[in-house]
Amino acid sequence: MRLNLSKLGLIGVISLVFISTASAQVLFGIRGGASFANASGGLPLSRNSENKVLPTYHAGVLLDVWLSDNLSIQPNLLMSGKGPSRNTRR
Amino acid sequence: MVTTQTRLTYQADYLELPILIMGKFTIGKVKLLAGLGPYIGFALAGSSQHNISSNALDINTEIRRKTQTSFTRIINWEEFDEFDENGFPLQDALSDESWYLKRLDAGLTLSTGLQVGAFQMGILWTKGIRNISGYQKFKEQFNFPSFLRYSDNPKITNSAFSLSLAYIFGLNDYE
Repeated sequence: MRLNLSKLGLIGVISLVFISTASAQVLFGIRGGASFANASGGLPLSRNSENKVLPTYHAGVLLDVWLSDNLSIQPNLLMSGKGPSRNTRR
Repeated sequence: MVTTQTRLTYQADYLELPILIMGKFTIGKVKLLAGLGPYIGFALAGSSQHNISSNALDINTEIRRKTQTSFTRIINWEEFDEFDENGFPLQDALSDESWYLKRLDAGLTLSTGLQVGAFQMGILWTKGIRNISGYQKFKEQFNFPSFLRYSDNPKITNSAFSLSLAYIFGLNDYE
């Protein structure tokens, strides 16, 4: 799965470079906002634990590459907080 | 009798690269956006905040005493350096409150929203596919006693629901 995703990402980047050298409109943008992060799973011993949402952030830059009037490829480069809050009771 | 409650908050800051393939649909005066694509994330830093509160009955005074402890730790990115003098991981490292994580994360990003002028506002939903638990590697380095149930392979995946606002320079002119 990891390999597939890396390949997919690579294809995305290569096609992006290819497209941006063609006549597509490339626009620059900024992005930010609030994130509500969580994680699924945990360690097997932690049966009396539960994951809860962690309020966090995301912010960064993007390119908006318009291929046509209704299709664009938008690569984002973000700083993004991830992770859960976790409660255990014994 | 002692009741203990632990609240662990772990936050990692990822450098994240989502590549969205976005469609734009004009419905009346509103432009509707829908996007889907893969993302790759690399954790630059992370820490965990532990808050432990316990309620213990003092047998001498028969008074319940509430104690509270807080501490912050750096996340172990598959680097296990907390061992006792026998080379065995410290009790704390064995507890379920210690998370060993992989730095690299990958998954899918889904996006919906509206385009108004040069603004794109909406929802980003990221779902990790890669198991970021570093426990498999941790397990391989030590022979755990069989009564500890570490034969299981834990799976941890990231997810996030985001409210996102983007400003795209020149989008007005392009329209």
